Amino acid sequence: MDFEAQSSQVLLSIDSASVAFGPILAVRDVSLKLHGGHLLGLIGPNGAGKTTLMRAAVGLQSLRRGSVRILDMPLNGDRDVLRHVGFTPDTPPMYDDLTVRQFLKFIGLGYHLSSSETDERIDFWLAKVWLSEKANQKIKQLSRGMRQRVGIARTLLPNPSVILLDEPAAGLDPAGRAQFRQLLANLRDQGKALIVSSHILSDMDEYCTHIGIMSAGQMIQFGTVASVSKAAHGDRCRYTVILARPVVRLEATLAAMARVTQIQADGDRVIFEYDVGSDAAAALLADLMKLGLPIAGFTANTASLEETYLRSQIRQVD
Amino acid sequence: MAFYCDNAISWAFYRLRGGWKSLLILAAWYSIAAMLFIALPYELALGQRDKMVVLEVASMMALIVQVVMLLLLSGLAVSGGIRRDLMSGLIESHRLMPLSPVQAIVGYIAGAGLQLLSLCIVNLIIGAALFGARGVPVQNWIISNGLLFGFSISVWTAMAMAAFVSRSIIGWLIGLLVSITGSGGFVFVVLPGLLVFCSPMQGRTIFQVTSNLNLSSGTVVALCAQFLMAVLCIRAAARKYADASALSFTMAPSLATLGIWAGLSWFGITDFQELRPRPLSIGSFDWRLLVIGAVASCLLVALLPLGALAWSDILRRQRRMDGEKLSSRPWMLPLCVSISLLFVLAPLTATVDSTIVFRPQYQYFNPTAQRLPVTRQSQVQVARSTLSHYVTSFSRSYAIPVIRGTARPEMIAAVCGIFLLQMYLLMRLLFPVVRRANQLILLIIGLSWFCPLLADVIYYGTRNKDPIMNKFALFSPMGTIIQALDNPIAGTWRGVGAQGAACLSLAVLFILTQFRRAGRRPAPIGLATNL
Repeated sequence: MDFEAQSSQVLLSIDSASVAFGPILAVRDVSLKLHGGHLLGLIGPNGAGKTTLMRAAVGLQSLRRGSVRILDMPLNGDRDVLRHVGFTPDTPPMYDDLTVRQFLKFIGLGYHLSSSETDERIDFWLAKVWLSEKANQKIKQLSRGMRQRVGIARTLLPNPSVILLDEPAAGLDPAGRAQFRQLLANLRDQGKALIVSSHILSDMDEYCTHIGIMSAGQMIQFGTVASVSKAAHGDRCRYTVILARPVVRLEATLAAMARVTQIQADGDRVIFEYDVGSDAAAALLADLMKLGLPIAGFTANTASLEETYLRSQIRQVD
Repeated sequence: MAFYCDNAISWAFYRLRGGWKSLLILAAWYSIAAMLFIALPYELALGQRDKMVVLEVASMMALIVQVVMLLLLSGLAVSGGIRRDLMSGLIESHRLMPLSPVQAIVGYIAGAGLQLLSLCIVNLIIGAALFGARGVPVQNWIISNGLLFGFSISVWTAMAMAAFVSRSIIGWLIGLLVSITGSGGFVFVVLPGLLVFCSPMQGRTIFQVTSNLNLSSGTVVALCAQFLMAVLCIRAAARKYADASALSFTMAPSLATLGIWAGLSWFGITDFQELRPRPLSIGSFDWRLLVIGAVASCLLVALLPLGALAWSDILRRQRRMDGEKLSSRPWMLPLCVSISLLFVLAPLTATVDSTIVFRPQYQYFNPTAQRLPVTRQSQVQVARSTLSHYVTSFSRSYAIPVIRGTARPEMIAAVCGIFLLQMYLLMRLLFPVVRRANQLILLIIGLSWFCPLLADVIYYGTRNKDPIMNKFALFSPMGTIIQALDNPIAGTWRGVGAQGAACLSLAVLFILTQFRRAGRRPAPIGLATNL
């Protein structure tokens, strides 16, 4: 898939990538191209291959087939290409006995940055991830959320053009998540290409420009947030009705109504699908009132990312 | 210090060890403790002679501490540092940096043992002072430490490489040390290559610091081999660092490793008398053990190039099945087996009836040859005379080897060649389907080598006869080699035939499985979805 260009240069290009673990194919024939300013949200159930795809995209996982190019340079060629790509795993590994500043200085050395440049960048990124006051504290003394922030600062320190973040918001407090959303939006607006894997779909709704839904190692849906959402919903919408009290044989009553499908009744709450649009919603409400149901609440669920994902028919393993 | 500031990994370890202040404090405390340890008995000693004894004991203790710190503790620090980073995932984080893999490995080697290295420098100074006080030339102490340091570097690189491929590296190291010390050096009889490799610690050792430290030819060979092995190990570790799923030894370095090992084994046999561990002399064991051990160890090292070739062929086949167009290379297997076979048989030439390899311990085999001048000359003279002797010997008498005591070297060659082919086929069969194929293959080798020998021992034991290796033992490659070296020789063709039949069965099985697997494709992952 080639998302339409926001900035002309393709920063990340994955072509027919397949990753196998022995006889198991963990990623199957995934292709995508990301331009500057694109922020792709990868979603999917556990074991869908999101992390494997991201690891393959940065060269941590060998490809069985296919290729990855960063800024049109092959990833398995010159090691210098690694300057342009950053990756934060879900639990970023660190030297616990170093201070935050020492650890980031080590990263600067690894990227062959000069000492003064490293110091400047450390100050800048620590301020960006709200850790300036912890700079001289040992990493082992930090909370999980703070370590996550150090991991993000580590990834951003060399100023890569392509940034991949695996579950970056896990462990962040609500304020941290809000700040992190802002940071991602800023990076996106600076023209970087980002891939973020997360299960916090409400957050991703805010900052992603594109969505990829993975399942069984394949990218089953992809495109801009709007296009994926439209493709998932079509002309149907999920409605939530809250009743003042439980009603006997409610499911059967609703099933008898025309065009009502996917009914899930749970006590005084029922969710089902019906035609999309305000006219359809008004007609539906009128029909429900005619049935004499004690309606206390009526909501037509908007096409959120969560809705899109739930409608994509991917069943979790219990 | 500039190195530590430039190399990210060694800088990280330098910081993890507390920086220069911590290193200085540690070195100062160590110096004070060592000085006290030496000064107290020195002051308490009554006469000048006792004082000299104290100094002598102290200088030997300094060397022993140096050996323990450089070889054992630093080696463990290197492998421990790498393993910790592997386990915590830090190496993956390092892989994302544009740091060259070789630079990273050198960083680990230089950084992980930094504290110990600082203590070794203190030790070096203390030792030099002790030698000066005793009136022994300080250069002897420096040469001893230089030899030890060279050997240590090869051990560190080997430990770095092993840290990537084995989780139980400490167990392996301790096992090796226990087997060397516990066997009274007998391990070196069956592994003469190891004897040469460890020559700074064996034979004319670094511990004889007061004597004239002329380097023997064995030591020079050992130094060269240690250097080459260090290069190969760094390359192997760098490959594993860059890609965890990569083979540490590809075919060319594997063949080089085998070549080095074969060369070391050759020198181990020819220079055994000079390098031998002190409790052992040539009369205390059957000399054929040296040859059989050398050939057997070369056969085991030959598994490296065969394994590399087998993996490469499996991956190429997989890629061809995925639709990639790759040229076939049927010449690779014969080439690999031929070169490996040449190296495996190289130690046999050490027993050849030729002036090239004369050593007094083998006078039974070569009573007419002259002894090589090895002592009381400068190193340059020794090197020059040895070289000219070897060159003229080669030009004069090098021919197809005829081993005394056996008329069947071709049978040894045949059984070794068949064994190598068997191993390749076994690897091609097992690697794609068995998770720990290497262990299984080693188990199969162990059983096929030693069970038939044991069967002969039991067979003849129950008949109250001296066990000779001519019945069941011929079903083992080792048994056949033993027979080929024995006198009188008993039907070694039967052993070769048995190995050939086993190889043929494996080849048929291999061909059948290749046809069966041809249509198979990897299954899609079936973890969490129903799609």
